[in-house]
Amino acid sequence: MTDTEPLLQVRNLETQFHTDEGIVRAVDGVSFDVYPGETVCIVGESGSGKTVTIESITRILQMPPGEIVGGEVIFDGIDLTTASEKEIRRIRGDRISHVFQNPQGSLNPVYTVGAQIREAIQANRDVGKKAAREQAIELLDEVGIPEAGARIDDYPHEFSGGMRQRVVIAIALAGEPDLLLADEPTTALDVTIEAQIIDLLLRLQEERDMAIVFVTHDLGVVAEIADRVVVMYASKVMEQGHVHEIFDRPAHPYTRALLDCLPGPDGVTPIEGTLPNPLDHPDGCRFAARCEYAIEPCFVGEHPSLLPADGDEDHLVSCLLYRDGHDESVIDREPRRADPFAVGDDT
Amino acid sequence: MSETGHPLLVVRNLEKHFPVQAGVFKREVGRIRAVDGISFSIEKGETFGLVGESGCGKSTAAKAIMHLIEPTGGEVIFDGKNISGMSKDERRGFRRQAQMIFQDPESSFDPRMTIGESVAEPLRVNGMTDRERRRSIVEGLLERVGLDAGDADRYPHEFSGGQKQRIGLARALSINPELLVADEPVSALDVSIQAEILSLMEDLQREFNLAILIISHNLGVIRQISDAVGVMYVGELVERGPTEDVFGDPAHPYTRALLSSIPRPDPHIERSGMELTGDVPSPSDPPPGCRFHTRCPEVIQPDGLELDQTDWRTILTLADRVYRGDIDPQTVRESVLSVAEDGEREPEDVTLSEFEGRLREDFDIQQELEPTAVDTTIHHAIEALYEERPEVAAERLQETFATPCRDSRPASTTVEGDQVAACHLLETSVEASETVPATGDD
Repeated sequence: MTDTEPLLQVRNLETQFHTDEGIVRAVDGVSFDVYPGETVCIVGESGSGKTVTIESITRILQMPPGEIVGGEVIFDGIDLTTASEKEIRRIRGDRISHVFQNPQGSLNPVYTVGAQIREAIQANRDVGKKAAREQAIELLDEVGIPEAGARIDDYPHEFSGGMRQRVVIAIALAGEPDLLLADEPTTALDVTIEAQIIDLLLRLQEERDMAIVFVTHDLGVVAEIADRVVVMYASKVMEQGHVHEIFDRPAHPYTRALLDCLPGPDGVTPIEGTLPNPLDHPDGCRFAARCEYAIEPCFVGEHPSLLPADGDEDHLVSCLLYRDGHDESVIDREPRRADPFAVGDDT
Repeated sequence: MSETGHPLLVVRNLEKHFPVQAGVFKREVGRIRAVDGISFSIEKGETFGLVGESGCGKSTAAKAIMHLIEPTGGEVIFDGKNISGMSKDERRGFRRQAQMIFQDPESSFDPRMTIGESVAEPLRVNGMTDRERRRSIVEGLLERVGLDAGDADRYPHEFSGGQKQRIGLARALSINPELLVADEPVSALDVSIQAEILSLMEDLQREFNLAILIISHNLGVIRQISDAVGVMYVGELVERGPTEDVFGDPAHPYTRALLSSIPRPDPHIERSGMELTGDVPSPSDPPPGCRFHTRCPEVIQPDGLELDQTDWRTILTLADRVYRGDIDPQTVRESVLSVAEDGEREPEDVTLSEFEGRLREDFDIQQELEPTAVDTTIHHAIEALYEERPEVAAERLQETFATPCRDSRPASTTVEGDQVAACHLLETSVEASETVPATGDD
């Protein structure tokens, strides 16, 4: 992974919202890379800034009230934060596509699904109506819609929720993107349907060698699909690293606390306290007020910058205790194995 | 259940059907069997979790139990009394004894009332006229659910979702109910907040000796908080029993599928891959026999047939569509032409082999499936469809592929102790175990 160039580089991204009550710093200096063909999960609770982060990448964010005020998003040598509207439109849907949480909202109820997929194909490729229709059928078949040839002329309401999400994925694939940005694409679905969609995304990724940035609050989904994980809290990246590092030896106290929130056989361990006010982030580390290891310096200055944990350049943590002169060994990095569903049929 | 005393809540063959009406005279043309004969009971101080996918009827069941909507069949017995037979006064008493909280804490409060007024409302409605006393009870409750006494003067919009759910709990508990019915109480909340609310519910249950009926689609939540669980599928309870048994050793294939679909928070584990095909059937037209047979990965094969389960599943899916008269030969013909980009020919010109190829591909049925007799049946059935004789196709398939899972409704079978499931596989294994002496006796 390290020999290849990143496909996407997000550098110190800062996105704000202007509201009546003041400026909300929704994304406050976020950096991460995405390499070709890998899956990066951005995980965090509501209000952590994960959705705004990926909406800033292709600038699909409502602007105003939103505004990208700093940082860079480099995709294939172009800084998307400063690219012209024309340039970014060419990239959107063609090289970078989106899948959202709610498939209803992504489909137009008055057009057949065939027409909508065809439109996506023809927006990016110079092909005739007939060829586009043929490709649309192939795409529907590829995303697992049974009897694709017969269903292409159906309207969105004639599909179930899971099938609609498959249609949305077919549309996202129409431009043969290098990068798929998926925002909670399975959250609105039932668990058996969610499993189908996750398997579909993993299969498509392998077949097409496509990178995926997947935003979710569900650590189960993260464990299943992520190669690397970015943990966000209160508009900042708290930790990032390989999925195994994050689940086995989380470095940041917040990551561990989040893992311990999952219901397990011994109950749940809630995180004490509440999320900081996004209008007025506290000084120092954003998590300090809820952190059991917080020491005085944690409450002053800027939020700690990302540093390698265990000397590993691929596993970064923003916690003061990992700085020289502090002792990170006080942090208990063994998460309670929250796996209530070890039914014993596998493993 | 227990020999001494009676359970606090007994639900017996509860049914809630909604009529589907049409025309000026509102003639009933069908019924949505949202809840179709479910039974379970809850002891004092016990938590029962009702789990299932959206549309399975679990929320309707909760409303019918509370008699917020009148059930169309069966009975609900609360503290020994049948709710349907209760007088107006008794009903009012029941409403006091059984409180409900909902998924969306936003819409549960009047935005113009202070939190204190909202929490005190059940007290006021139930005749506590002393303002001061109401106030002091409310303050005590707010503190008990982890808020400040002073929060009583604030308005709903000043609280987060998790805090509102805490307030909802305070309000529900203000008149010391025996039963709390919680419909998806944490679904709208973040994981860390969910954890807080669940552990609060557990504390309150111990303290107030509450019986809780919790409804959720989230198996983790149900597992966390319930002593016993019921798994619903298309209006029916397919399995119920003590939480540890149902989750640890699920007896119904649907429960197994549900559990194995959950993304597990451990990157070292691969999901076991028992993926369900298809969507949940509609409760307005539930499948005959076992309602899960249209998606089940373990459908019983007819005697003498030993197909690979994957092949068997694809055949059943085709057969199911044929039985339902869902396959329109004309559409298949058109789809052959549209896939082939053939604008020259008319649908009538599509050959049998093209037609068969299309259907086999659509349903993932292999060409030349072994044994030959199976393949021949499929071929003949498709031929009958091609000739626009769907009844012949259905007959052919039914002759060779008849399964008890479609032909008869499975009865509830005791698996072990209090664990009960409705699946034909269990019925046969019970028969088998009868011939084998000395199995678990208790």
